[in-house]
Amino acid sequence: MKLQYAEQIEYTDLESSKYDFAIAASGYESRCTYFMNTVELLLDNNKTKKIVFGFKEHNNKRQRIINDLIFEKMGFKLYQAEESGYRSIIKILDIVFKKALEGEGTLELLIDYSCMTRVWFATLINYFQNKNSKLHEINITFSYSPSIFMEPQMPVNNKHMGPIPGIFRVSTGSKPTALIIGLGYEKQRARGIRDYLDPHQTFVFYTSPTIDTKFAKTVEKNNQQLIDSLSKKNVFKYSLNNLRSIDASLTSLCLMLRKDYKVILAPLGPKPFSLMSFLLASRYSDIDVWRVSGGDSGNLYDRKADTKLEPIICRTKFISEKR
Amino acid sequence: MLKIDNFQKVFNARHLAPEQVAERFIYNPDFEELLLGNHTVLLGPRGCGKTTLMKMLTLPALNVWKDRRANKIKEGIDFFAVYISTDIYWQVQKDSYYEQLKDFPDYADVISKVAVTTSVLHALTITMAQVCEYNYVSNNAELESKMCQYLIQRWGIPATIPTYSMVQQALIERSGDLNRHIQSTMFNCRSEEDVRNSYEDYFSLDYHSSVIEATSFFVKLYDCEDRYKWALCFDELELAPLWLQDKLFQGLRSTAQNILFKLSASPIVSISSDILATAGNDLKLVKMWPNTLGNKYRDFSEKLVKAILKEKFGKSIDPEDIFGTNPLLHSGKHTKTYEEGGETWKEIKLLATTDSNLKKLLLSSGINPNNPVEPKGNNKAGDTILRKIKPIVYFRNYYSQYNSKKDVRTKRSRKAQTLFYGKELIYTICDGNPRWLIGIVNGMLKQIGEESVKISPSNQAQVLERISQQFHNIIKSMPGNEVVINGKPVTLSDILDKIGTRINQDIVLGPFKRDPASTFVIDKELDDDVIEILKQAAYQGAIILMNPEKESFDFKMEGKTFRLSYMLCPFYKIPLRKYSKRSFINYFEEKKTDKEIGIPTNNIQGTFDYE
Repeated sequence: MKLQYAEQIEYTDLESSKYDFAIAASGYESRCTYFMNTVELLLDNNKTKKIVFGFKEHNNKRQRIINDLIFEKMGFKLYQAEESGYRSIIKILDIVFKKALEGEGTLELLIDYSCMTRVWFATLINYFQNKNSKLHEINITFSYSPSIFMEPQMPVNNKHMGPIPGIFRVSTGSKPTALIIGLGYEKQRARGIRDYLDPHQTFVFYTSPTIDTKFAKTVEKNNQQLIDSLSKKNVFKYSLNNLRSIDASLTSLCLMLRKDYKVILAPLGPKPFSLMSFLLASRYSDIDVWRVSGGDSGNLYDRKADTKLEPIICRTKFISEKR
Repeated sequence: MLKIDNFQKVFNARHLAPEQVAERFIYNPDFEELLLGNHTVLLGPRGCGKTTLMKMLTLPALNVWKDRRANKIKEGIDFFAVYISTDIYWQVQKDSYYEQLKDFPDYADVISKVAVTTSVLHALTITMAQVCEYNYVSNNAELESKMCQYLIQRWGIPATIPTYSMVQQALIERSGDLNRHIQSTMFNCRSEEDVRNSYEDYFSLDYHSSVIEATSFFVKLYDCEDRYKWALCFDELELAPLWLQDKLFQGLRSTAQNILFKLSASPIVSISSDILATAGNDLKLVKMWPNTLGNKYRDFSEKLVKAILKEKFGKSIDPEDIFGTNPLLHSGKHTKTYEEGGETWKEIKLLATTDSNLKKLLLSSGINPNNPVEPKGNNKAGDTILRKIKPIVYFRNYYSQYNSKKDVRTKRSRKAQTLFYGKELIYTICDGNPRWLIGIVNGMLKQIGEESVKISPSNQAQVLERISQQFHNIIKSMPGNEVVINGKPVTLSDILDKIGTRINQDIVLGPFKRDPASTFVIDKELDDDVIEILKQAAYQGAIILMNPEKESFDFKMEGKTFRLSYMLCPFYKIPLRKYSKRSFINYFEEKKTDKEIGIPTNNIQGTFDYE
């Protein structure tokens, strides 16, 4: 399958859509169930099959137990996976989608990735892009619920730093590296990957302005040394709810760089930026995507959905290369 | 607030084309060793200049280099360098990121080998084109076509125009095909057998035999002089998969006559000692850190700093005019400082009035605490003691003070660390790392604009303090697991903090000792994961091996003596000096036991040197 297009749609556009499957994640965040709750009626009316990935880790947290109950009540079938469980996700997808992938025609999916790990939703994209099937096209709608600001916790050490599982970028030649970081608000993450990769060029993206100004201020404060060390032309600000603009900036920058550099994207901040990075990497087989995480000992945040804000929704169309 | 750029960012040869490396290359003695027509292994921590030397072997670099020796070297060199940069994706089996290939171990092995072979063949094609371009053979389109037709056929390349650039392009595309193959395999294959059915013909190519074959054909076709060999220069081997490291180190023992290996790796080699060839006529080991370079490194540093000053100010300037000299590291015999009323005399006298241990030490060495001059006559021991205790005295006077009871020393807060300045300190603190040296000097020069005036000690100290802090931050943000020492989980930066803090306490706060512990011996009973994290520290240059083997590889940490990188000294407020040893594990024991080993305190040799 190859990605034919991606577009940002409004929440109201969902009303006219029909989904074969809905996929969500259940963890320790309050916002896990928020989006699926709002579309429950739509899913029920269309007899959408519902599955939810549950984190094997931290599964005794109070909010996790509540989330599991809410998902169960909405008719979601729970599958457990490790937070970096790339192989577990593939196994689950093989079971759930075995029949659907044997059919011809179109498969419609609705994925709420607000509480998924980057490994999980990168795997979902890679799976549907690379899995052999008879389908003519797969339409995936990705939804993200913005959260209310929470103060970052004390930084924990970086445990994992490397390519996102499922994306292989063996390269030939010795081009220098250009690193594009989507800044998050935890200290040490961005600086860590920059020091580790020691790239020739570094570019950073961060959300500014933000409706809650605390987001932008905290990102700037906790990455000040890195931002200050870069030329102004290497620093990009973006609006989180404008996916088209994120995609345009990222794509043009990557296309400019890839001739002379090995491009590595490191989306550490808000997940819509990660989604745009994964979709970009799915189009260009030489663009790599890395992750940085604190592993099991990473900070946990019980993020609550900001109900004043609309979900950020991206509809994508993958079409069969055989057609 | 003083802003310091990322001090590591400057002049990283990895990012530069060989021609760009050559434009700023300053000759050093290690390069001479690398130019010899035998196998060579460069060993050293990250940033010590291995990549620069490797890239300088290539024809474009040698042909751009403007140095009085350049022509002689270019004409005398008897090999063509094939520069191969290690790719982290070669190591498909090692990291957890590659767990997706766990179900297909044979395939993972094949992928790793195909990736290496494709890169080597790509690099070889580049070198062949350069040999023609720089007229080491006839630069003839017909011969190029014949050679490339041969490569296309032997390497299973899809039909393309037979030129070196098109063969290179086809090999780049092969990497793309390989990535797609891997992704398709991961999502669609269930067993090794499934995967095997999808193997491409080129999966069976072996880089070593393919290189021998192609170079032999090239030599015959172009009627190339017999004396030329082909040097496969594998850079940053510590990032390479173990199978490749094993194969390359084995290759040092025996390989085809027209093939040489030039390898660069971390100070501690991670492979079995059975595999390693021994240094001798056919293999030269070059260890690139100050312990093995001695004065050569100081000379090189001085040359490098002079070149930076000349570039900035457009004239030759003595680094001492800008940075001054450091009283603790000055290499000349400044006897005046020890004379009555001299600077050192004053510092020792000052401390001896309040520190009873120092007073006792001086008396037992025949030195009057009220007039601590160098003893007259043949009193070498007394003379040595004054020199040995000098940095400790300065650090104690500077960083600590007695409390009101006059029996316990407490920390004295200092805004700027003015013991950290001077040209000798700038050369020494870099531990043989030219990138650090360039970063520090550029950081300091930013403070004085276009005028070549002296930079004050406190301004220099501020720069060094911030850079030391930056280096500590780099280590702290490196990815890695925690290890358990004495029942407590610790990271690499925790380990360094424990050692640095303990040295600071011993030198600055504890009872005065003439030879406090400042180095550590790796205990034999340490867990493997602790050894692994310490190897990482050695590779990052955070700890420095003190007693490397002279003629062979250092493949074991256990039993070796290390010290902290001097770059961390401003952070921990400790002098750039080596004193006695203590076992590594002893730094983690809560109770101070003074379990020092090695050099007996009554046998102090004259060690007033940098290393």
